[in-house]
Amino acid sequence: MNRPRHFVLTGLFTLALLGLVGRSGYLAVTEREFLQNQGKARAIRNAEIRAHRGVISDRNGDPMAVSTPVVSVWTDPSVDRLDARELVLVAELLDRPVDGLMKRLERSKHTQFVYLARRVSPAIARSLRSLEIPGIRFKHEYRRFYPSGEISAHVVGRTDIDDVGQEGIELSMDHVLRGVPGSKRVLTDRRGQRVRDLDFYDAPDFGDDVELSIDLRLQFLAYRELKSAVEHSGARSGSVVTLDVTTGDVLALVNQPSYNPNRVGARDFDGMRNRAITDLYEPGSTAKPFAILAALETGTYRADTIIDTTPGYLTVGRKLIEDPVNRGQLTLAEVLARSSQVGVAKIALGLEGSHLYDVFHRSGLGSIPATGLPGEVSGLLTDRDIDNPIVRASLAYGYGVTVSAMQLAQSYLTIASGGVRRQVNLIRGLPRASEERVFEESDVASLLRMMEGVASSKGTAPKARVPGFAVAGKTGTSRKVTSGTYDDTRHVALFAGIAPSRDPQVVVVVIINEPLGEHVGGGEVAAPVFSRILARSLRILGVAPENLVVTDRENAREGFDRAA
Amino acid sequence: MSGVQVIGVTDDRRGLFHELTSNQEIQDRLLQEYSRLLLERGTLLSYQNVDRIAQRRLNMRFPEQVTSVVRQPKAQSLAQYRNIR
Repeated sequence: MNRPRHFVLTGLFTLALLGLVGRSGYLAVTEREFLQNQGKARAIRNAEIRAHRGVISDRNGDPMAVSTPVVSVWTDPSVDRLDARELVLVAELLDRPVDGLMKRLERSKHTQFVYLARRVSPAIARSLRSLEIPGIRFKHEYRRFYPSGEISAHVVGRTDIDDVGQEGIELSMDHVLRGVPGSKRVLTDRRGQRVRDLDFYDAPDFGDDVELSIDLRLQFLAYRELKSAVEHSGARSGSVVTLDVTTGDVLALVNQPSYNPNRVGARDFDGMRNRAITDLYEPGSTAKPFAILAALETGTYRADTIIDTTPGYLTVGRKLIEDPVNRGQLTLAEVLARSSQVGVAKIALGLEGSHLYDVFHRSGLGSIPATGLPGEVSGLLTDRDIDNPIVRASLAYGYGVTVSAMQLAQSYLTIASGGVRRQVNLIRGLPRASEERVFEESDVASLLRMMEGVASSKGTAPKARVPGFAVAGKTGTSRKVTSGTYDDTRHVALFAGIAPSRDPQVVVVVIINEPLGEHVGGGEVAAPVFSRILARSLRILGVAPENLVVTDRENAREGFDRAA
Repeated sequence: MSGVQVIGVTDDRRGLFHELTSNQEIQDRLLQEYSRLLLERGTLLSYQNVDRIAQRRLNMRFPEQVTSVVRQPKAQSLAQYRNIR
């Protein structure tokens, strides 16, 4: 035996061993924290727990936007290899062609993340999971559904694929609807596959629900009637706004064209515009009631004051204002009912410019409606050159001022509420601006009586009549401006109305943009829409018809007995 | 003494954590059910649906003009009404 060699070898091994023990002791003592963190970083991850987005509902609690849990299926082609048999199984369950999946995997074989399917139902995900194919991974997400679809697409808006609000209420109330995702600590294996949950850090904070003032039933009615009217008249677009008089709540807000928010990736920008709040039109004759109101405020005019419109035209400066025919002597009420340009111009010329502007301004024209929808416009109302007779006369019959459908509704709300300026609101539970009396009750009451005449057989809109109810309103037909001048072939037909006129409950504004054909006037195109929407809306709201004969049952019995 | 407590607390924690995980799964399932039911209710109660069923299946018709309503008598007059009969 070679003793020296034995000792040398033993010594060397012992030294090596001591070295290792020493090193590990050194690491365990001095580098402990660093090494532990490194180990955790490789095996322990923070995973996000997605938070549920709040529900958007109408005033009766019917859902307008709901998030439902869905599962996205993905794989990591750089480490997971799915064989052909597995792919066929997966494709079958996902109801997708196999070769499509294969191609997609082939294309992205050098990436670390590829979706096999996005947003499949949890039931499909469960059966996929039960196949226990390694490399098939699942990501829990939420998908937004809009049960009322295109009917309320513009109000509700929509979210993008990552559940972030993009338009409408989804955008403006995103901070309320959005939840705060929670996080948990999970143990993962070498491939990043979740092995088990270790610990919860934060529970997800679910988003809050938002309740709108919309009544889906009225919304549907308004949409149906507007759609058929726009199709019928060949118009380019149209909007309807319905307001509740006592609260200022927006009961319906619809536009044509619209789009289906449930379709992912729709790029129909024309249909996506919320025209009722973004598109501006000159109100035309729908502005006349405010000129009449200004006349009433002076105290020198009454409903039966005679205004002579002979000879049916009037020159102001270099401008000719004319009625279709010479209407002769009209009362103030008739000027409104028959929408005489000459009559209103004459009245406006006799008024102080600043007073006329002030009445328009007080009614709410020219100021932002502040419903909480994104993209609202204020419209244009200015007192520039108001002392110029042409400007003053034009303003009185609704030119040189622009409004959106919502704004026009807002200003009619001021009349309907008996002269109280009321904030319109779309989202329930938000603080409201205080109300303010801006017109004398007696002036407004007298104006309302005059506006009833519009829907009479002698007025411009007998088609606005609603069986069983007296309505007040005003038609409007304005020409559109193209390249700086008014175009005689392109019109906007408007009707703004209040019902029932003796006890106002709702304000409805109908705007039809560029109707084609023979009849392009507000009385022919917009007024029938108003009438059809109101006939059913008032019933849904439970407003009793005015000519109702209420009989007690015993009396009715007597009546029946006698009849028998 | 405190060493024994640490063991007990850790065990409790493990139990509670398990409970939390399973509760969270239940929550997820219920949420799914809730949103499904909400959507279903929305569809069934929609004006379109009610309108269609009323007209097609129940042969109901929208009243064009209501002119008279027979009102339920008040409780007192109902009693009188019964006495008379």
